[in-house]
Amino acid sequence: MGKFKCPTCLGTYEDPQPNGARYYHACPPIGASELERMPEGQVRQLYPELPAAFTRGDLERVCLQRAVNRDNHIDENIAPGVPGRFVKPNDKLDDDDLPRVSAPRKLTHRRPL
Amino acid sequence: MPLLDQPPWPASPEFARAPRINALQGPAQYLFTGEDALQIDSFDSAAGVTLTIAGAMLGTDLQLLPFSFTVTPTTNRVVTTVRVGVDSGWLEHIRIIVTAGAPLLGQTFVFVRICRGTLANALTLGTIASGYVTANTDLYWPGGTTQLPLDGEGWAQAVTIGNPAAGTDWSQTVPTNARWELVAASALLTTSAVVANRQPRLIADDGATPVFEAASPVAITAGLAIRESWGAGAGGPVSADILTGGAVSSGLPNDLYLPAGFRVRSATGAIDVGDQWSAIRLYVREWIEGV
Repeated sequence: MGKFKCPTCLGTYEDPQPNGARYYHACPPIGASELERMPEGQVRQLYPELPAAFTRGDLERVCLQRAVNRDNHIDENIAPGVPGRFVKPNDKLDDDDLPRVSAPRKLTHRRPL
Repeated sequence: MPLLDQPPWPASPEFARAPRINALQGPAQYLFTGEDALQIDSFDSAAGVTLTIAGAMLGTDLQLLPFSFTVTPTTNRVVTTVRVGVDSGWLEHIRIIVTAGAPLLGQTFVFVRICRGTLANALTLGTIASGYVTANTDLYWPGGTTQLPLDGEGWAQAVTIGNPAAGTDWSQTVPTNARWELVAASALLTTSAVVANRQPRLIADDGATPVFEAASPVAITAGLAIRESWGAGAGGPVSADILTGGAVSSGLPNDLYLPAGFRVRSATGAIDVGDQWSAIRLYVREWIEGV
């Protein structure tokens, strides 16, 4: 079992999980506390619907209505629609050899803890 | 011997001329001509699983021709297909069992099919058997039932979610080719000394827009460590025992099914940069989507 830290969102996670299943990390969307620390122009690019003078409460409201992913958002899940693979009997395929939603298939971005 | 009566509908000339008495009932349902092959399509989310497929063909001169091979499905729930040419004859029986690994029901699904050809452009002709397998729950033909991947009770599991960075909410995406039923969620919120009324919420969204939102019944103040829990079937704000138990419970709808790509996440109102979510668990039932 390995413990990793995501270089984008700085979250930590285990893969595989304690029950043996693979864990596919995906960064959470940007939250209001992060928006509050960003330059106003950048916030307006993400949420143009914000009022001219917005408050923390406005940021929380728009985040609840529409979640926005951060730059370099990582999503290790297998890309939807990937076709199945053929294998010869008694052979084994590489588990990590399929395209991801937004991460390298070999998960080279992972930083061990 | 007299021919059988002609059908009442117009038949093609070839069909009309065909001598009906030549119809042959084989000793089993599936006849493999030598161009036909067995196709094993497997989906799996458990580690270290090996499937053993064993059976027998009834060949010429009533010769019984046993076969056996293994399949190692990938653990990413993406279909792994094996096509194996078996001897020509009738398929007498076949059994699929887990011979390595310990998947629970809901983790490893197998289709046994007959196909023509063994290459990528082979034509699948039919499904012989299908269902979830474990080390002691086999899939077999004849006599077994045919199941679809979304049938059954599902795999009841606790999903361990990593800790987000301080001051950030957590999020978990339903994995590709899985379907979840969210039964419960629980997470520990440790608040900093900064005075504010944090308002935790649990949100299920489709990857962008919420489809369900459950707010905690009470606000969490500074300097606390509170376990927030959400459970299916509860009708609304359930309990808040902040001072003595450090716990807050809230309701979730029953039968909250979430397909791949949907997310379960927190959205904490007035979260401070020093607040920390940890010990995050989801209790879900999972099925293989089978796409």
